[in-house]
Amino acid sequence: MKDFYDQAIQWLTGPQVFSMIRASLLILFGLLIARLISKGVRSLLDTKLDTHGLMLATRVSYYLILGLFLISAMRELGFSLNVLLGAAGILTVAIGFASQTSASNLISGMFLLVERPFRIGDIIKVGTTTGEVLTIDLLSVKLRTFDNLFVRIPNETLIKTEITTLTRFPIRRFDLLMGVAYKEDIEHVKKVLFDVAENNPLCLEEPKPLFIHQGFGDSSVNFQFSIWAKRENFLELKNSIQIEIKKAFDDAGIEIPFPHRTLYTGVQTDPFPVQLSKTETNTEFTQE
Amino acid sequence: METAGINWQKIYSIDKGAGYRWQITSLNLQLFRYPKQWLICWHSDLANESREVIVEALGIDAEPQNDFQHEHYMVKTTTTKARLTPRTADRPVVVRPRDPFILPSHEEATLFVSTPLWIEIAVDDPSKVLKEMPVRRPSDTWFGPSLLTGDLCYDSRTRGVMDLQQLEYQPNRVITPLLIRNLAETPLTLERVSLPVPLLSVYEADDKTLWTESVSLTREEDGEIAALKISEGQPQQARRAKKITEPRHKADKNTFVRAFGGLFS
Repeated sequence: MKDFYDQAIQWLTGPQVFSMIRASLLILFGLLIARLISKGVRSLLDTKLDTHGLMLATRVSYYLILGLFLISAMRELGFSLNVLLGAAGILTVAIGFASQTSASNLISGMFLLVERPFRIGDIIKVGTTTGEVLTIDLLSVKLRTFDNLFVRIPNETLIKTEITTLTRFPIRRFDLLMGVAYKEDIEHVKKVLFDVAENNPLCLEEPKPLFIHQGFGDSSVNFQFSIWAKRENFLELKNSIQIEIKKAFDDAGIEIPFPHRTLYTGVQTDPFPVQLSKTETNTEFTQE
Repeated sequence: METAGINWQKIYSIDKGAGYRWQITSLNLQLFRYPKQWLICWHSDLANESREVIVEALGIDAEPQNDFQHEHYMVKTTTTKARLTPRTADRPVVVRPRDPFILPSHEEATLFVSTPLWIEIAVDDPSKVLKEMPVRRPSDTWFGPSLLTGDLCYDSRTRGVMDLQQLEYQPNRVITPLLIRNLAETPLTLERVSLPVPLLSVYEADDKTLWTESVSLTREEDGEIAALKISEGQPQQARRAKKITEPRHKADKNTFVRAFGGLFS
């Protein structure tokens, strides 16, 4: 026990303790300096970079400063950096094989950074997922869907997949596909639609609404009516214009037909006549 | 009840529990005063194309209309004072001449255009603005060289005319004399022009017509960018008009605006 005590005292008063204290001080100091410098970088670049760029610059500066202080601390503790670098080289090869996917995501993230198909805050559609971009990180992009779900999409997937950025341009077109009964006067239908568009203040006067005759369908004459709106008003226009068109069609007596089928007994015969008649079945059920 | 037109200089006195009603063509606007609240109610009857202007004091027992849109403004205390002020639209307005025309090189033409009127409702002393709204909400429109770049504007609904006598007076609109100069070597086909009304003041003439300053848009090169010049003071056509509202934004000497071209016709 006395020997252990003597050895402990000897160790605590030896030069290695001072090295450890110096190394700890370096790490603490490094943490403080790294934080101060990253804050300084953030204030300096706040108006010059977007949210994502700012986050990247802040993180890079923080970890760079911290890394330098960590290396100094390790030298203080007596570690030889040459040995470390050699071990790191071998470790890198091993890690490289093991982390191909992560490396691919990392590199894909850098390409996305350069290409900038979208920014934080944009609404994007990737496959069947549509959501708001929350963060663009090293390995993945995080989305928030409209029903408030959190989705993580690897950067590698984004590089290989078609991405639609819904909020890239200031105005957007809404295409309404519909059909009217064959008996309707198409010119009159067109006039009613254009009047509805003109009376809806959210519908842009220019670009002008578009009417495209799509063809003669099985049950109706089909067409496309396209109208433009400011991007922020797109949903409100989409809802309001359909309600207004329905009302205008009802007021004008324009029929939007249900699917029709005509039955024949054969080529040479007339169609079956259909006649509605009252039965006693419902009455019996009511009495019971 | 007054029907001659709105006296924009007037400060309305409203007792607690009472209100005022203004009918300006299609807009029916009501303002009610309560001890710690102002209530604004309004309804737009888009089918009403009349030029009717009615100003009516509503007594203490007057009830707000249930089918109107409402906005409640909660304040520490209210005073008797309320004021309406006319303003220009809060975005540029795209106007079209009655008939599109071609302006040859080094020629100029004057159009008289009318743009939608906005109303600002301010109360108390010192005055605080509660709300601003259009008398009749104009349609949005896009003005620019492509679908990717341009400005969101309002559409004027009425056409610009060369002869002032042809311009129908409406109490819900503001008139601007617009001089267009073409200094480029190529003709300018004028189908539409974007008038930067947020840069203009509002003047009231003796006959209650509302005017802005005269504006000149000069096409310097082949493009849609124009040098803008706003004349100082009342326009020539309303020399005795009095200024009642300052512009929303100030234009400086070197202001250029996107005025010509429009898009992709």
